[in-house]
Amino acid sequence: MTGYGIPARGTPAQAPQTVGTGGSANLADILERVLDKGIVIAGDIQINLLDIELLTVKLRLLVASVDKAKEMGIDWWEHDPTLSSAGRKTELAEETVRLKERVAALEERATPPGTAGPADADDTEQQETAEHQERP
Amino acid sequence: MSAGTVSYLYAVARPLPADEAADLVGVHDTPVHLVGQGDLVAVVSPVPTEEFDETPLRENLEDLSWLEKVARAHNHVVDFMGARTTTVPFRLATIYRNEQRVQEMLREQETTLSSALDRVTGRVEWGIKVTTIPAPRAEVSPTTAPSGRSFLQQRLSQRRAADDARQQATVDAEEIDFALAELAVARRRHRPQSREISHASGENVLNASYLVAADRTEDFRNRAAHLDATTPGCRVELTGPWAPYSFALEETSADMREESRSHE
Repeated sequence: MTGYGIPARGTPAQAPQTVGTGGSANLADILERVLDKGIVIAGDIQINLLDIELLTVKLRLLVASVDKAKEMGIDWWEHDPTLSSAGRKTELAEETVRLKERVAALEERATPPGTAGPADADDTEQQETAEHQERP
Repeated sequence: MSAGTVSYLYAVARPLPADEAADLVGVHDTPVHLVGQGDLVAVVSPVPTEEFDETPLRENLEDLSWLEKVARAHNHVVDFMGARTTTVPFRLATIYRNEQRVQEMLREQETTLSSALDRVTGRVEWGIKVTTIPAPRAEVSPTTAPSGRSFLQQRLSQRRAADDARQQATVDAEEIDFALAELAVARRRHRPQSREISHASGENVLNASYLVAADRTEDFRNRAAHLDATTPGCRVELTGPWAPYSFALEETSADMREESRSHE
């Protein structure tokens, strides 16, 4: 194929290409290689990393050392609704606040002061829920 | 070997002049040893039994800061060796009682290890991550939308636009993968990285490694840069060169031949 940039500089084929990711490599990139790849020949001390899905390892690690993870800015499980009930609550709470604001704004526009009671916020919430379910 | 230590095995490599690795240190900044057997050397260093025996090791692997230190030390040793000679990395925390046991393993596994080294001779691993560039999202608020209906419609259309963008990114990622695999001897896909762990702002739609011959490395880098510049919705990030972590196992290469045939 042509058209992809300049031709290669002459790298001597017999010399190994310089390998070096330095100290700057992303921890996630390193972990997915050192935990999940590489030759596996059983050592004398048996820890079966093979059976551990990398994601599971990370999750378990994060949960086991929450402080360290937070220190590194990793606290996503707290906000991910599939992983944490706190996250789910946050999402719903935010939605509810927005909807209540909306209801209040509508009431202010539609209702002269002193007449009919406030609209039921729950109805509006159900509309939003229906929209969630519509998604494939 | 002193009491209270076991042998941590980082990698197996082709021999190199002994003094070249004289300054190389591994876990806990302890100098590494090269254990030779025929045309192979094992790269090892002593590590404390109290951290690396079965029970403490299992516990330590759960500790992210411990794991990070060991993972970085492991990668440092592997990098260092890979820059100087053909090297096949071992999986993290491969531990032997002592160097004599490492030597025995080299004798027993000589054929397997030698052919693993042959497969990666003169080749390096490049990592590619394709990540979506999130479109700026207009603020839709229930208080500013002209009506409740319009608010819900705006939210719905935003979600549809995001779905479309993700679909387009998936198609782009396939094309990027195909264009890069053309320059590679083998390719292996990894699980996409979670956004929060990678600190990326977009979604990782392709995470893969490519085994590239040294003399095609410049082409590979240029093509990756070109794809990055010409794919508007995605960022194409190159990492490496890595020692051939993802291509150390024989069945991996076989899988990839299978996969690349299905692309033809």
